[in-house]
Amino acid sequence: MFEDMFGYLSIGMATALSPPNLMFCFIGVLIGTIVGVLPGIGPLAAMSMLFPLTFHIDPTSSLIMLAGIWYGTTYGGSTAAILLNVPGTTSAAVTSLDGYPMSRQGRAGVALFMTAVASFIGGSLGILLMMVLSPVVVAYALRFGPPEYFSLILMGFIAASTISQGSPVKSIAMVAFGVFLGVVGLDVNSGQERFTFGMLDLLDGISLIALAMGLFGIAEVINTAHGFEGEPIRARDITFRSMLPTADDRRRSKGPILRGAAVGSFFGTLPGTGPAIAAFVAYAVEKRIARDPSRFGNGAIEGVVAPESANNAADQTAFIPTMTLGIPGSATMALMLGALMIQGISPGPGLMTEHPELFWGLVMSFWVGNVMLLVLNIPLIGLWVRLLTVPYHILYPTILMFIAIGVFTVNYSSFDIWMVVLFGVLGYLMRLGGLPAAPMLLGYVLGPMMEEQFRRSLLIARGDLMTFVHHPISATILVLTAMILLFGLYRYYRNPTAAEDA
Amino acid sequence: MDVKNVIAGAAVLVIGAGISTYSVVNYDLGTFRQMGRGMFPAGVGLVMVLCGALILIPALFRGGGQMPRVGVRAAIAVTAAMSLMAATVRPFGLAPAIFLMTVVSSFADTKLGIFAAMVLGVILSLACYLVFGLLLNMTITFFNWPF
Repeated sequence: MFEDMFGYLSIGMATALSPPNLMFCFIGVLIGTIVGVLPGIGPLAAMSMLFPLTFHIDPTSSLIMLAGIWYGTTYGGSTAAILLNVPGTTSAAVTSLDGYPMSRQGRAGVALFMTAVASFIGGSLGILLMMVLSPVVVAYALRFGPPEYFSLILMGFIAASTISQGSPVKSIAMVAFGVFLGVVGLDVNSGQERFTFGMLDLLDGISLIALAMGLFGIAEVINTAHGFEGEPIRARDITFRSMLPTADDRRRSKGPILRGAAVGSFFGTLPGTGPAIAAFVAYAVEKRIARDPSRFGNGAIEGVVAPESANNAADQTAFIPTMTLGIPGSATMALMLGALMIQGISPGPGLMTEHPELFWGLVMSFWVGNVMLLVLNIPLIGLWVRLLTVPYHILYPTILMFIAIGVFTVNYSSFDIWMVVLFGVLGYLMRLGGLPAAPMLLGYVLGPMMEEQFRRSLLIARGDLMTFVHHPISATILVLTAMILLFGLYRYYRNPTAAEDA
Repeated sequence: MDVKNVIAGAAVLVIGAGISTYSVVNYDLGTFRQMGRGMFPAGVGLVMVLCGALILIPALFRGGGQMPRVGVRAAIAVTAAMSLMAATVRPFGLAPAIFLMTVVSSFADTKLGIFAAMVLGVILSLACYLVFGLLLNMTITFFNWPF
């Protein structure tokens, strides 16, 4: 296996370093950083907006760019968290706990520098893990059949619903609704339409872009357009010298960075968890094992570097289940899979062997991207700080413009724009009702696959529903799913006030 | 009564019931051996009904939760803006559509006056023409007159 590995790595490097892919990687991480720095837009909205662009470029480049946005936002999110106490991304929320106090003590430069370094190290360890583990997982996964896939998708849904914040029941309801939306259109098995109500435009199903942009883009704009109060940042002099950490800082950071990377790598692979949870857990771990826990919350550098290392590691390992099994653990991963599927590539264990240049090119591009981000985030930090001063009321019409054009240029059909409006309104109503949108996207992307595997399993088993339990691997997965569900429900109902959030 | 969650639960329940009923009535359910096109949507609808009930019923007995602030002005402005764009993009071309959309969406908050909004609209339509028309060379009609 290891002789193959060298061959794979070379293909990967060659693909990742080709000039077009270098450019797309750069575009991705640049946009990711900007989006990460700006509070109010998340990676999902940014990826949705660039999604239509991916039709015109080849699949490997698309993924490289989308991935760049994904892990790029994590680098940028800490900037606003440290300087403004307003995290640019949810995973950066923990960073502000100690990052903002540090900045008030005049140590903003050091905090920013160390988060960039911690992010790089965490990300690198995550990539290494991905390189080593993926072939192993794939080898195992090739033994999976339809019942196993169905159970895995079910587990993914349940895990995503219970592990993240908010009511599990609401999330499951939204997953179900998302599955329904995925069903709209032509049924592959019977060739008949479902839920199109005579509208020809719906025969191809509801457009993923319209759904994603409406739910996340438009709904977000409506949400923030009327209430956004930003504290003006004084573009303080963040010189290079003021950013260098002291020897004490360096000594204190070594352990937390490594521990954070370990925590992050673990949580990244699990479906339903992601960088945000990884960051929280890493912070909690450091606080637990610190010799003087009272320093946390007052500018302890461990509280800044551990979460940042964790969230970047989680970013990278999140690709493992997505690329090896074809089962995305979060809405953003689902979007990336959607990009692949639209290009005609079916994700799954076969992906690594059928399209090695795609898989390994993507993995190698992570290295390239992380290095680019290190450069973008250290010397150019002053630029991003200035970006935070753009007033929102000029920004959001621009965002709407990107959304509108992005959707329109796919099919040149105004029907798609109407869909965006519809899902925008729906998304906003859902936010008001506390119904989360991310599980819905997950359900939409995976729903058709789930139905396919369900049908196939039953066809092979000749209508025997117990087939899912008779296959041992599938049975194990189902038992795990039940445990996750019960645990999630128990944890939620014990503490409902803490979790109520859209 | 936790009004917010009562409404949310009721909505989920009603939509789920609608999906299931429509599937059962209009589509062939088939058997487990040979699933028809209606079986999966029917099942999904059922899950939604169940979840809706689980959200609705406890909310009926729970104390008042907070009703969220509805940004009516922003919602109407953005919706109207995008709808206007959807309606005008094919007959009138992309540039006027973007202009109209920008001006209408500026009503979402009070910070951008109508004149400034129009200026922004012109800038954005121009930027759009430069970037997508000239730079990326996409074949979009920018100006059109249907009469």
